[in-house]
Amino acid sequence: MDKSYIIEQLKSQIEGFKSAAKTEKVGKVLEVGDGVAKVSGLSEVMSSELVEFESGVVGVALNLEADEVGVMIMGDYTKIKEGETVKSSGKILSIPVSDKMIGRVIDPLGQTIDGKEEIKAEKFYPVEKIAPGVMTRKSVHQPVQTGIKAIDAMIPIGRGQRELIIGDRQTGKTAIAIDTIINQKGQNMKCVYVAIGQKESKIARIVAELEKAGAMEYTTVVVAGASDPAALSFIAPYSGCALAEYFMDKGEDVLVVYDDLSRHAWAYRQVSLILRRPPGREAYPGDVFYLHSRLLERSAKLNEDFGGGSITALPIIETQAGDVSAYIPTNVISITDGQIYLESDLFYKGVRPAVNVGLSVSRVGGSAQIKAMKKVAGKLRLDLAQFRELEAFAQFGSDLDEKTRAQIERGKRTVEILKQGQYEPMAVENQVAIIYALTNGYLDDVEVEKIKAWEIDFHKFLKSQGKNVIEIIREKRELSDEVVEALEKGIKEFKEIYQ
Amino acid sequence: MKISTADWAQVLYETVKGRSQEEIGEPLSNFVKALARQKQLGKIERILEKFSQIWNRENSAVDCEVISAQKLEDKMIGKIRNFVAEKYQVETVNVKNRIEESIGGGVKIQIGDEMLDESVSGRLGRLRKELTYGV
Repeated sequence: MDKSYIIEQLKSQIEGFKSAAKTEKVGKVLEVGDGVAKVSGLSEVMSSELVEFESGVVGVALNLEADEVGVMIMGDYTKIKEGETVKSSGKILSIPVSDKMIGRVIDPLGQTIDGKEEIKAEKFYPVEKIAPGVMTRKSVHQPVQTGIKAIDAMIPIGRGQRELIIGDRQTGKTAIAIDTIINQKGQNMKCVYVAIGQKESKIARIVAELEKAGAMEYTTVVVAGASDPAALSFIAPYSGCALAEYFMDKGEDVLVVYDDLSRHAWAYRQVSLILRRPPGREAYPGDVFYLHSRLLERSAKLNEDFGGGSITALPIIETQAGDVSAYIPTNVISITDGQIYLESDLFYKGVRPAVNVGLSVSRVGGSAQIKAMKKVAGKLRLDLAQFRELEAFAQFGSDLDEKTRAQIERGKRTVEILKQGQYEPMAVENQVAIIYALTNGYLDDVEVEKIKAWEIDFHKFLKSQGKNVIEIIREKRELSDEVVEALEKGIKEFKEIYQ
Repeated sequence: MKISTADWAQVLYETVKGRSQEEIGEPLSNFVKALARQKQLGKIERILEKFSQIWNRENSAVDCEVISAQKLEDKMIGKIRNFVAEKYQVETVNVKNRIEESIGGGVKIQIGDEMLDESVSGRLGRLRKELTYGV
């Protein structure tokens, strides 16, 4: 391509440019500070409309009062001067969306921040949108395999469900979300990871891990870091959801992780207090419930008439000192279709992932599991609950009857099997195999300390077999006689070799 | 009960409507005293803005600010005055010409909170937006 061609192109674009000036509505900045500007004028501005400051910064009109408009500034507010002109753009806040955003790291306004090439938008999707209505939906019936045994067996998640991950700091909440994203390889799912108010170093580490696992081929990361203005943290989850809706409208399945909504509520509280909206409980504004409910309601499974796509949401909430009865946790628990409750006690005892199976629940349950898993894990939860009850008696090992002792021994082995390493998601076929071995007593003669090693070798063995068990389970997805036969054979063979 | 600036401006208008220049001295001082009693003297700027809007509306006039890079000739101002009068269907147009060199050339016409930007800087801005990507 030579220079004269480029110049010709540019000239024709400039000539073809029709600079029709229309009257625009303008206002004047009265006050600016702390990420919010008070603007006079702007008489016909809509709520949540995008406005542009003379210095180039963009803002969102949030507070529409009789004499002035409160504008939340989406960028560096130090550039804005008092008396500056503000133009209304006529557009409600929307972000550019495109297939090219897969594999990229973007900010909540749709601009790329990973230093690679710019993305030209195919479409603009509104950041705020009314959730799909009742008649457009279908019930959840396909599984989202997280690759984590404790979750897929006992607290299964389906496509279109909202499952909350809740726990104290450093209990492994983000780890569960990242392992789930990594396990979506080959599962026909796109993923969006929204980082709200997180440390930039943590986000960098997460992106590196996702790249290493090859997950960036189907994942987009939306970042509003800890040093970005609260306004960006406020809209980050909605932007992530808008991008997910772009894929859902094309009939695809999307997984969205909101990490985390506690910081989102803090950012909203900051913006509301500066806009002088009256504070309520814990200084949050009165509509903090609506803040999260309208976000999470946009995750749905659509019926075939609307494309059959789905958005599964994994919101994360950080509790303080295990208090799930605080304001924001109780709000979000009542909105979601279940929660995965992580406890620090379990974490320090070595049970990782530190899932408290008793308090965790999935309201979708069995309809989001393949038949094989449903059969095999059916009694697992009950057995574990009974074991927890009896655990206290484990100290009096000798004074117990045979049945109780057996239950305790089985329970200990269950806990061992459910432990799993970070970044090691397991395919559902392997999960079915190992849980089958566990619940049918094949592990009762293995010492508890050696269970982990047994499991690792078991999976290696299954992989090395000819027309093997794993493939059969993957094909049939249920525990037919053929599958059971193959499993029994495989397990017996392994046990012989292992001795 | 809080009285809004719009109401104050309306009251001010009603007070001076139809009166001659000699007659408005006392009503105006009463108005200021009332404002002081309500501790709303700080709002006088906004009240005067609103008053100006009400006055223009009632008397079919608009205030128009024309921003140009160099001082405009009377002929040009006359043309702008006619243009605005037709667009807004008013009889009187009060034109104020402000000089701002940063706009390069052309004019920006501002009436209330509507702005018509036919300045060189405005057109360049629109051209830049058209040629680049982004929100």
